[in-house]
Amino acid sequence: MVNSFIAWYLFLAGMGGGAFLTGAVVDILLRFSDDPRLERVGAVTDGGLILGPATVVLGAVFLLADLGSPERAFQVFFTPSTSLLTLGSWAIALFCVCSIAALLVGGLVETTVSRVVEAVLHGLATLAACCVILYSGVYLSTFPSVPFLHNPIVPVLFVASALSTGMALLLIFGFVLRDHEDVSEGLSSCARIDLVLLGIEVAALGALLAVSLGSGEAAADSAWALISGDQAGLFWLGVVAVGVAAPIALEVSHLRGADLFTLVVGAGCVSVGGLCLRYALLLAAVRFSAIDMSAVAFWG
Amino acid sequence: MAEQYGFFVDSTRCIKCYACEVACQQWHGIKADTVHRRTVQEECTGTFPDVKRRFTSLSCMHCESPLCVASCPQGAISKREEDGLVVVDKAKCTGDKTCATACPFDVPEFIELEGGGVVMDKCDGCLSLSREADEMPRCVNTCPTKALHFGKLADMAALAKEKGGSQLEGGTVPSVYVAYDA
Repeated sequence: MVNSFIAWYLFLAGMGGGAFLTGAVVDILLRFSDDPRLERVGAVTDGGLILGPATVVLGAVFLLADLGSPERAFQVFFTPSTSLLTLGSWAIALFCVCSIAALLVGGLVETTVSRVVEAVLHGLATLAACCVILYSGVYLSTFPSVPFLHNPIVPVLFVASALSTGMALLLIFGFVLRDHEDVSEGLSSCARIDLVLLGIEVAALGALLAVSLGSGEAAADSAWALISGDQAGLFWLGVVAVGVAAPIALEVSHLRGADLFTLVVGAGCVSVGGLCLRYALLLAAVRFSAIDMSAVAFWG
Repeated sequence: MAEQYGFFVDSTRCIKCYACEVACQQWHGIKADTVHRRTVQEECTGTFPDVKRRFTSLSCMHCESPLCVASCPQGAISKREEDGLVVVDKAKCTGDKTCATACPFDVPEFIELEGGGVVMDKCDGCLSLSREADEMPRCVNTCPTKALHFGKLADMAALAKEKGGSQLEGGTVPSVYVAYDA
């Protein structure tokens, strides 16, 4: 049902949507505030307005590659359906079109009309980005046949991970442009935000495991697969050590005086951990078949 | 909807000959080692020498509230007004496998098209073979022990009741009745 294409799509769409949303929110706040701290953060998060759409477009390629008949994918835009995937497809398309169009209009000669058009496109892209980072977690949590993911904590975890990997992308962007003074000054504030996001992600992951261990057999089996089963290596090394522990240690080190290289290594770890998290959750989940009351693999 | 149609699987008569599976594969031209629209499930309980085996021939449940229909982003799956059968429009299917994730009975399978691409495949009650309303699906016609029945769900319920059977359980309300040995 799911495979590497889906894991990569979830990772890239989350990271791109999170990076754009962070950049867009800061950009909107800056239209009403001239707080110098916010301006420094904005110098870094502005990168999300370009990198976000590019990353989501790449993610959409993985999503299309997963389809059995991708040449028919456009039909989703002409078919009335209540499926969350329809909403997600529209959100991805709207996000890509509006965010890229906003960039193009923003590059034109500034007039009253172009400013209004850019603001409208920017607003639409921001709303669509919210849908992009939210719908996939909600979608995966709607199926009773997949007990481990049929949990309202899953969307929270996916959103937290999307925002933290998005911030990691922005930190890497800021590191590349570290010679610009305003960018380098904003990186520490971004690192603080990332630590908060990582904290939320850890809390959501811990809650998901705790709830799963205390619930039905299939969900508990999936949680045990992560903790001490087939996916334990990926979970403890990829998700916990590389994705959470290392970045927290590295980002705290940076805030205590370590150089920017420490910070960018931490951001790289967050990115790798975000990908590992999606692989681990999908690999550990099983589908429950009511025919013979057995669990069948969700992966493959 | 006019009236829901469904199956009654009389497991007390099933001998696991696979004639229903074979008929389905042959009539629908499904190649070997690809998909199965109907499969005979085997359940074995007890330990030697008190072992009981029971066989249940199952396909799509043509549920009253099919999750596959609700989940398909392409609207490729629909429930027919005239008989409640759940059918897939392969021209619309993108093979995104959402239906397979949603279906609690693990029914949707995916088959490669000759011109390329992969689409969902499942029982359509032999509608694609131009089955008339008063005809039986090929699996039912072929079953040598008359273990399979198809018709209005109320009639299937009556047949099942005679054998002490009941409707398969599930939140989607499967249109299938099954009777087992006491």
